[in-house]
Amino acid sequence: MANDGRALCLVAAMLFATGARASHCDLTAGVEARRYSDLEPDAPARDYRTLASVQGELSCSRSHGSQSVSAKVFVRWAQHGSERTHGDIRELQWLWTHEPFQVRAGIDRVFWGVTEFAHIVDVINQADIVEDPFGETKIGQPMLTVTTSGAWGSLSIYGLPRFRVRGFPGLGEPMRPAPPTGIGAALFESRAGRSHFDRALRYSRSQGPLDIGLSYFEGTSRDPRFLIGVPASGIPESHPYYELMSQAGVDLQLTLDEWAFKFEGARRHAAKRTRDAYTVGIEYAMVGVLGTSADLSTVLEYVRDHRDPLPLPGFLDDDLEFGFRISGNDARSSELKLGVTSDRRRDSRAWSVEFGTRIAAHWRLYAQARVFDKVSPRDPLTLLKNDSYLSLALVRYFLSPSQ
Amino acid sequence: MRSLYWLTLALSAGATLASADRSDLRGLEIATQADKRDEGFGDTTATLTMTLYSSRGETTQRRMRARILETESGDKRLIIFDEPGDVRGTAVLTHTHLDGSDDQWVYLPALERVKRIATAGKTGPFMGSEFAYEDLTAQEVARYTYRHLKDEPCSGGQCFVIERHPVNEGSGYSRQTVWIDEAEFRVWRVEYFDRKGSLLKVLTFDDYQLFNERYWRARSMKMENVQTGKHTVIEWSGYRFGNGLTDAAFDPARLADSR
Repeated sequence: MANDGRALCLVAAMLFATGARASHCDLTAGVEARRYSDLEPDAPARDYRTLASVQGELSCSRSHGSQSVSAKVFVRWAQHGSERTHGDIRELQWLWTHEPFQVRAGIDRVFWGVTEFAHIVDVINQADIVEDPFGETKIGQPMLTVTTSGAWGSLSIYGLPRFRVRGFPGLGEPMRPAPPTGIGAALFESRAGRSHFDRALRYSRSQGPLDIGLSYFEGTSRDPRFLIGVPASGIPESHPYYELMSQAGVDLQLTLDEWAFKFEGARRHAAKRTRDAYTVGIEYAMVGVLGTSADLSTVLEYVRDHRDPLPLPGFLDDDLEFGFRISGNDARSSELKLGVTSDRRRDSRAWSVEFGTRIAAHWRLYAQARVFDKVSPRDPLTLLKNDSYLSLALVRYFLSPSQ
Repeated sequence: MRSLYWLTLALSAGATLASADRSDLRGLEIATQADKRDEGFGDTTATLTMTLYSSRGETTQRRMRARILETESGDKRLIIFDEPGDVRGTAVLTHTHLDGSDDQWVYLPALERVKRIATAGKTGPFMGSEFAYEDLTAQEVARYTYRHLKDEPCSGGQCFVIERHPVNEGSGYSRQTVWIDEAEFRVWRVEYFDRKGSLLKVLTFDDYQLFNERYWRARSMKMENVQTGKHTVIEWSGYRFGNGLTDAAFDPARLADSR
């Protein structure tokens, strides 16, 4: 956090130094209530069953000519669980554009890939599993990026000077994808520890109906394995151990009218072993469903992942996934999403249902359910099997007038 | 360039052309002329305020900014949403192609992800409004076949009335009737017919303003759905030409930086 503090001061100084012309700050604030399912008789005790929390995200940006600075800070205060109350600088960066180059320095979040469920090629950012145990929410990563683009595509080179470790909810808290012990200090394969300088490269191009991405990463893996240690106290602890790895990835999407065909593949080399992963998917979009103005988009994907440890959500190794999204296209921009993943070898299934609608000009209501209705004890998903939940959130958007 | 493309297309359909009567040629001539008048605008930026009126008179507002770049192979358009708050920062990028097979990407700030989206979506409503995506994309000449119906007075003076049939099967309409004024070739009214052939929507343009002594832009567009009684009004403001926009600003790889 000391580093983050210094970076914050630096960008704050830049915000003023650029003599900004176009600037704005927006605040998103919300309250959430969550209720977890009943415990099964054999389940370990849990600290709480209902959880109330308050969250806020402030995002500001200023631009002046070829330069811009932007910041996004997230905080959550939770009623229970010391680890649930947390904050993160999602973004804090300076961007300079000098055609055909773009240079950015600071903290940022970068997403690579095309599929909806498994994100095989996405490796730059650490996951914020306190916010989302399935890894869809990422924490900010310090980086220096140079991008150049032209008719031939777009090429980005990333320098990642500082590794960020994964944070875990406390022992006894629900939704904790980690061994049922305390978490010890992080261990690293690299002697440089979290100061190891990671590097990455990405080329992407859109050519007619085809979007192509090629990527390469070399550095510390974002996915730890756990080593059990017994400290002087005698109570075993799990130490997250971060290996060095290199990974080459490819992602493709072919979009033809209402159909999209997707592929992501990766080859990861870590701990002297090479392991592959791929996912394929097909998406079909329909407008004006059943004579209404709603759009329906359905997705069917399959993932095969031999990497070890498995990247988040940590249980998609040989799984079929199905999902749909209905966008109401109404004045309230209502949206309903459903996703289900099903393990092909073990008898496990996880569901997710989300609904969102605008209830007033600057207010939006979200309801979400996550259900683990069948979990094989041999499936890594077993860590979450007692943590089905229902949540309700109300979010208010405070906007500063834009440009 | 566009007219050349059209010419090639027309020649390749020589057999059809041979049997075409004078009204088809006249219709095409009018559409081509209207398109030519708008050539060379380079780029445009503007702000849109969109108001949705329900059949009970309730209103909802959206605000967004548009950036448009003219290119030889079709216009590139970027729309950035400012309001309501839950969609702020969402950006939709469209690369228009002359034949109607547009490429479209959307940046979703909540996911911080750029997604290529299926073009079938263009027949769907735009942001819950009475406008469909396809009503707001560039009306390239080659996207329709034409017929000149008649000439009659309209809100813009004396108008040509032409009928156009979409070439692309993906359109949500069977045909459209368009009123174009004879003096400046500005569109004043469009009637949209659904795929069953019934009148679905009526679009009226108002408050035209001249820019750079050449380009006419309507500051008000009203779309009425005659089947549901709902309507949507788009007010355009802050039109600016010659902003020096380049292809780079319309690159899907940079969509996440659009602000």
